[in-house]
Amino acid sequence: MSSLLALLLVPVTGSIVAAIIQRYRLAERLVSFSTFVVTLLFLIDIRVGDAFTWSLGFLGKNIEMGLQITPLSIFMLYMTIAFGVLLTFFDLTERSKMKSFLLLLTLAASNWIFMATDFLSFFFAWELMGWASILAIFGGRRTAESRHGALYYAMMSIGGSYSMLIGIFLLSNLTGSFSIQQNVSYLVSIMTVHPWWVLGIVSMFFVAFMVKSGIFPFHTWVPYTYGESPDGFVPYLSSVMSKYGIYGFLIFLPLTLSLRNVPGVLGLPWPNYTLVWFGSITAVVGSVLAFMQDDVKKLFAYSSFSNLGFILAAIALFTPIGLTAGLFHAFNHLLFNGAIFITVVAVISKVGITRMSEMGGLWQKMPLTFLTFFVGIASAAGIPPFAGFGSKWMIFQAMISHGLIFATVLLFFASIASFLYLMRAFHAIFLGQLSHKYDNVKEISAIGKITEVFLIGALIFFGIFPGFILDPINSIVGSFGLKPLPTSGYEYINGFFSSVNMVSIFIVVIVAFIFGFLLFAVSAKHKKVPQEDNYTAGQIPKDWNLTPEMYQFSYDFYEPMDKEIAPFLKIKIDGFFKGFGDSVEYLGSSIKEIFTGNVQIYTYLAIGGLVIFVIAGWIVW
Amino acid sequence: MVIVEFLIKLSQGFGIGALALATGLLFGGIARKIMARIQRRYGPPFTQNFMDLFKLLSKGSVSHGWAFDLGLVAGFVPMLAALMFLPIGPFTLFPSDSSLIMIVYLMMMAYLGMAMGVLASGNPNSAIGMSRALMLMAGYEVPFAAVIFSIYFFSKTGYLTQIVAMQSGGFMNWNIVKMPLGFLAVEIVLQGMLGEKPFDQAIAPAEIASGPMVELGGKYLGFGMIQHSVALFLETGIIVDLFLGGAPNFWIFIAKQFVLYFVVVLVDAILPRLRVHEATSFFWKLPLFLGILQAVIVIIQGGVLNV
Repeated sequence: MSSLLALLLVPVTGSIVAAIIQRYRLAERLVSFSTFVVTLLFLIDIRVGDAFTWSLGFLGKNIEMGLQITPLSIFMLYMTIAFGVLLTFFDLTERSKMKSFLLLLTLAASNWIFMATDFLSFFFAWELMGWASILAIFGGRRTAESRHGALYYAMMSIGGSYSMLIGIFLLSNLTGSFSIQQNVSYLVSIMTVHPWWVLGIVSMFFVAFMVKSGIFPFHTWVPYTYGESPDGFVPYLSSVMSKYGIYGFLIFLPLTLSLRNVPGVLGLPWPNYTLVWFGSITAVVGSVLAFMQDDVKKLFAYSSFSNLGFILAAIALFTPIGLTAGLFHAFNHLLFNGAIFITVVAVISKVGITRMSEMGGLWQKMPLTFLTFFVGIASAAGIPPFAGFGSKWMIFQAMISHGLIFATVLLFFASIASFLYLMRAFHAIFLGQLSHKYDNVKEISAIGKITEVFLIGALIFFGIFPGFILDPINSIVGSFGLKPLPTSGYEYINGFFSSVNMVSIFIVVIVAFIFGFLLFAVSAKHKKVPQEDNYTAGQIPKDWNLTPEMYQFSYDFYEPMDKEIAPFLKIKIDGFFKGFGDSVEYLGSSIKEIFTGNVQIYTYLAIGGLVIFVIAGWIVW
Repeated sequence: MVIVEFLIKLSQGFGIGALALATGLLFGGIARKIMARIQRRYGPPFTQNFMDLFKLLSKGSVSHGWAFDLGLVAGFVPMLAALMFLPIGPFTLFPSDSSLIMIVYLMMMAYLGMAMGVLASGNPNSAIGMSRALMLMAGYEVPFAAVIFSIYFFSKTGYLTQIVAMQSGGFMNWNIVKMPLGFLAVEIVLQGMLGEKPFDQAIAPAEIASGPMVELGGKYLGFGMIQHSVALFLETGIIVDLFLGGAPNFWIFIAKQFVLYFVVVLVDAILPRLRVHEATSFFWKLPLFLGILQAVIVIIQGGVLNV
């Protein structure tokens, strides 16, 4: 049996077992963890080029279906499954109502998506992934809200799927085949003759991918859904599932290579240019909305799709450095977003709320979680020597090299805004005054601690040795027919304008820190004081009945900023979708008006229908 | 052999750090003197900042826990680390790593550390000050990004050393002549970066009790002072490298830095403090317009790079 099939069958089997024993939470979680581990073991002896095909009789036709491993798919598979191992390990002691069998079903579907060679199985796997994840979102902390979030997500993904389905059938009608490779090369061949046709069909697919990744203007479901889904599932949702859209984009982006000689904007073909803008706007919208959030899960939901905007902007350039930067950022986002969300989940499980303005001072109670979060946000902000710096730095170089001034400034703004919301979350959750109601909060379990230490290690390791990720990315870039960036050792990142040696940066920072701590040690002694002992401008807290909660400034942290960005907030994208929903409802109810229950009206309708049918038949024949 | 090399680099790095710190402190002292003379006072001696730092480091203080200690150490250490990659006059410690964006992001780590320290103290004034500092940062980093863009696109390199080398051979080769609008934008940005009036909302002594520094005393305030002095050196140094053609030796480098800082001090002396949101949106108007205009000019001149 091909081990490619094992990547599908192992998770499905695990899922069935988990579904049967779902009553016993620990056993269920153990099954989920061990399934991920076994899948990872099967993945290890899979190499690029492995393939498996079978055929399916469908509507009297014999349809070739298959699985194949490309450099991109093996990269994505490793990312998904390795992260899943980490997450399910963490989830062993997590107490939310997440159903592990749905997670495993999602894993099977995602493995299939990355290996599918034909659109039929791609679509089937896409839908399986979609529905499994929708069902997984039910069972969040608040029942009614999580149902609303799941339905919102369901509506958006159904819209995307319909769009993709129409695209698939349009294409297969034209080529008579479902094979992805054949269809894409067909699109390349008619690119110069019928550019608008190609654009139309490809945008059908892109709608589905944009919905899945939460790209503007289809980002509206992300905060609702992430905010309400079960705590154990959010990290997977935001770190892994948002990348499926990126994989989808990369199926079609090679098309634009044939447009390189057609005049566009600043040496970029029009489609790439447009996608870069979609990416940049997503990045800005996500960042700006994030720093106005008070719900921690929603804040990082916005942050998550903001980073997807960075990734899209970079891969949409489809130059060697752009593609490298985008994929590298996808990897880094997986890591730092995982670290952030896992710590956030750990905090939520201990304090029981998601409103940041009611937390504070938790660093005293959960030091390791605090450090993990710190490393996570430092990476997310792109601070060297942590992971996250290299990819952001490359994205900027990729953008600058094309002279995309406005999009670059927007991305830079998004990057600064990300610093703002990260600091806000950092302060509101971990810093400031510790409320007395959290006096009994304890650090998370040993399993959680191991996960956190591992994540800190990974964020530092891949920050210092980016080459371990850049090497596979280079082979992906090569497989798309682009010239990979030069490599010169595991510690180097070679950009377009400059290269950096991460190890030397790391050593300089470490030496500087040693010096800093020496200075700290030799300068005069300090004495530790309790948190009440603060400079209060003459007020004595006890006399004024001041509590730690009153001393915690975190609600509406960036209030003065509201005035500046208020005009932009008036543009409501979800208002548009709501209006659309309302008009569909209106249309539906007006159609329903016809069915009054009066037999006479039905008779008239039948006669009218017959007449139209006859006349239409007359005209057609 | 490697160890000897390491020790040489270490001592050189130590020297750079000491030089930057001394220069920053000296600039601060001179600024106090200038300010006093504008206000018709005698003012402290220009060595006052050295004495202050020495006093602070040798004075007992209170700590609010390990996150407070770690944060304040992490507040000035990355500044020193970033300094190691800056070409100072003819000298660069790591010539192959002087990437501009890398230095800017390394400086960001210092702000992150400083924020962590002062916020861990749990004083609401420091939280308000930090929120203001971050909002101001959202303001000035945007025009700064436009200027970085222009420089990268114009010089076709991201190494500060190469940007400096491209400007050698006289005043007419300096980027200030070639990109005057960008320089203007960055000089305004410098005012915000250094937190001088009209952009001193974060400190705002009479309003929020010195903001982030409210809980700092003794060595912690000393660390804050080191951070500010090194940041002063680093930020003016970057602009000297970017626009004023670097320098053939340390003295000219420091003189050029001082010219930049002198303008900042004079502006500081005459302008009042803006409101927080006014300051942020100011950066999104004039400086950003100048920066983008400069970038557009550079793009039109330079055309598309061969990718």
